[in-house]
Amino acid sequence: MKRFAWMILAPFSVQLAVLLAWYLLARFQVFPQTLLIPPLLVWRTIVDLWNSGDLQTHMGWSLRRVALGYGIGAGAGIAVGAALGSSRRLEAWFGPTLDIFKQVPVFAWAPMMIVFFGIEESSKLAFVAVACFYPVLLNTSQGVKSVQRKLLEVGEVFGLSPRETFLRIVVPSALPAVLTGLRQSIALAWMAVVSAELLGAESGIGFFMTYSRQLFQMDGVLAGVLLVGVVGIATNALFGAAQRWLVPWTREVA
Amino acid sequence: MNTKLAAVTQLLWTATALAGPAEIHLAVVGNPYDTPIATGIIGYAQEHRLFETEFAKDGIAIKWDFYKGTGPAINEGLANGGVDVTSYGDLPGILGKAGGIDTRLIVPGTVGQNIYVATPPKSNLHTLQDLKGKRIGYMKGTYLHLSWVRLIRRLGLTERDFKVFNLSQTEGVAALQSGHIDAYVGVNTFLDLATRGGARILYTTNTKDAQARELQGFSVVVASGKFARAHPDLLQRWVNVYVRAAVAVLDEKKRDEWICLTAKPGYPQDNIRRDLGENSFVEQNAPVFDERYLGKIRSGIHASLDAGLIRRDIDLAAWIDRSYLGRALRTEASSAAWAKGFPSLVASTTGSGGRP
Amino acid sequence: MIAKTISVAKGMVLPVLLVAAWAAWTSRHESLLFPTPWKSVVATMDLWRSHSLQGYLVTSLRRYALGLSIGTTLGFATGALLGSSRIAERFMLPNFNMFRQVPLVGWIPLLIVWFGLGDLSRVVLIALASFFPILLNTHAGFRQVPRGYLEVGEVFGLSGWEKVVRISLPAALPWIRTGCMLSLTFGWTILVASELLTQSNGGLTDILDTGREQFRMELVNAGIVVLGLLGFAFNFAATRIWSIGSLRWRSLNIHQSNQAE
Repeated sequence: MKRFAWMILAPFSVQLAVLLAWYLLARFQVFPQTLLIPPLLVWRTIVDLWNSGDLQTHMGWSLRRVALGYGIGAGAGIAVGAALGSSRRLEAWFGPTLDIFKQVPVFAWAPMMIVFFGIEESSKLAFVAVACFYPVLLNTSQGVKSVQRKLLEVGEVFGLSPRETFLRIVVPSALPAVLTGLRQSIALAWMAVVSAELLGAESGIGFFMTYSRQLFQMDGVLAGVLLVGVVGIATNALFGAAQRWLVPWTREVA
Repeated sequence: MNTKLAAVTQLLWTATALAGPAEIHLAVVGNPYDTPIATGIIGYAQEHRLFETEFAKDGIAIKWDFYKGTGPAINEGLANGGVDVTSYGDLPGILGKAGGIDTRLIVPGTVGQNIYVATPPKSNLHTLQDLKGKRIGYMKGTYLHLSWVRLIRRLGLTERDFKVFNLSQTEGVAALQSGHIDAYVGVNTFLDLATRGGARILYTTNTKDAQARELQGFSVVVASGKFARAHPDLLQRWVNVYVRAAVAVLDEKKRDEWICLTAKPGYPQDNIRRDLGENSFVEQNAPVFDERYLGKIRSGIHASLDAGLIRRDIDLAAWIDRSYLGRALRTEASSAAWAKGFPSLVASTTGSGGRP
Repeated sequence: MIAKTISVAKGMVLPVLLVAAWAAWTSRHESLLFPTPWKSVVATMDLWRSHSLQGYLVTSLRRYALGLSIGTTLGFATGALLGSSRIAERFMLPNFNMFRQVPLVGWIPLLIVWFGLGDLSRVVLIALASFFPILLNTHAGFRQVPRGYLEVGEVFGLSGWEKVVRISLPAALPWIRTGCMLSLTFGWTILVASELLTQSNGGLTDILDTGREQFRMELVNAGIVVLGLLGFAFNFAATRIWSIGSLRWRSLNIHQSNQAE
């Protein structure tokens, strides 16, 4: 019991300390009130947003964009990754090209998307899809490639058809890597959505943060930051849980 | 991580406080041409290096900062101590004050800032009602924003009735031309664009219609509270220079010079001429806290509250500090015609807007 | 040797074909959105000649170097600490993990208000970006040092500090290397993000911004190429550095890339 308490309470104590410091610094106006918003004020802003329905609207838009863009990008990543991972020939011809494009820092694609698609939804979705693509691609191809020869040979011995080999050997073998890729990707996708919205949008959490900034409502900005963070943490936890459920035999480095 | 940030910022602030003014930070609203040139009375002072000359005696330099993000970005500068004095729009000033930034409104700025609601040339939208539900672009937090909000209020609409994009002037023009938005609320750059057929002006306050002109924006000259408390003498001298510049340039005979000055950042002169129209630029820019100006501020604050742009009211008496201007008018503007109509303001050092 | 050349050649076929196709098609149907590749080359040369490119380079690199050095140093030190002290680990690791998941770009509006539009906000962001990968990987590296090694150290009477430097550190090197490479890449990505989201800042992304505002696609293309090349160069250089001498042997572990991001 004491061990358990120690495990849970120790990290929490740090969080509480930080919260307390924040509260005190704001209370005694160590920094101008305009810059360091009291935590309670931020909380009240979040509650107001919830009550007025704005939070749901903006969140809804952002989440919708993440889901769509992620679906496209991750889907493409899995498809291409599986293809490249299973065929050495494809890898030889197409791999280096993909490697070249991989070198470009993902955010550099944003201006191009905006020029092509304007400030429409499509530019944001395109950007998110591109952002998600590579982590999934790399991890999937890695995962498929590393399916051990032994296992495949066992499949041959049992006379499995290519389809069965794929479903019963390759997929479970590659799954841990694929899930890692998907997990890295969703974090990047969320960042991409927020960035795209910060740059040019009429809705969404990123838009809300820009809007608050223009109106010098710092509590709105801080509320936005917190909400963005909460979603990031929640999605990561979700994926972590999914990983533990689907591939309990792997151990993750954090 | 919070504690590390706190330590760094605390260090920075202490450092700046101890250093004393090696420079005075003047923030100027950026223009669509990205040139480091101010307009109006401050532009005149910049051209003739009036501020520099005045403060060179004490070895204090003037640091001109041009904010591409215009008003809203200047608010951030005021909040984190990077700006000492600035002239910027009505809404940014109101937003800043209501948002808790410690500022003092020391000199009235200009009135009569027009807005132009532009659409693509072939657009089939002809009235403001047509724009409902469409994609509108403008720079949020600027005077354009407030004027727009007041305009649509008259039609019983709010911002939520449109799809609003936050776009700068250059982005707006591009978006309009590529058809990504249906209308943009901008400044006078749309005048020659319209002449060339690149856009159509659906609505503008640049008319003789009194109702429309009511929506024109104005600007405020504001000093950071910190600077005012720490260096009231320097602030007074700054205002003196401002008034001196005003006396020098505010003369109807110098109309052409004024237009040149305003166009200097890169605006086509014709635009400025048409924007000014037949109005008196002296009347528009005379630094006096007359009833017209005070009325405009009051209605601006009221409209902002109404539209939910600010959540607290502003105590105008506490915001305005007329003492600097009063002293400056007495010493510098005794000969100016535009100051003569306001003996009470020239004579008094404290008014209902005196320093607390 | 021959085989290697062939495989490199095979890989280059597609890119070369793509560029050739692009050049061929745009020379006939040039449009605003699809300029010829040559235009981008010209644009880049112009930027070089007018010394703008150099200016951009210096500014961006300065931010990158500053942020990276701060972030990796702190990340490494903290990782080593968490890897050696159970107490520190218990208190801080879950918190770091949680903080890591907050998307960095979300902080930008806040950082700008606090630190202004100057370089401080960007450097802080880059430092944050490079902090976590190396923190987590150093920690993991330290934690996987076999107990046996450390016990040998105790037998020899090594102090805690000596154990860290002479046993844990070398053993954790492959992980530290991975963390370093990840920090490098992610730091560069975030540099670009921070410059894009705090406009008009004198860095390399100004090329992209100008291209976007003035609808000059060739500038956008040029910017992307420059940024990609630099990213590649940093990666390449770092890999080389890590291959020097005994570092190469130590870090040649069959180390999967599926480590913590």
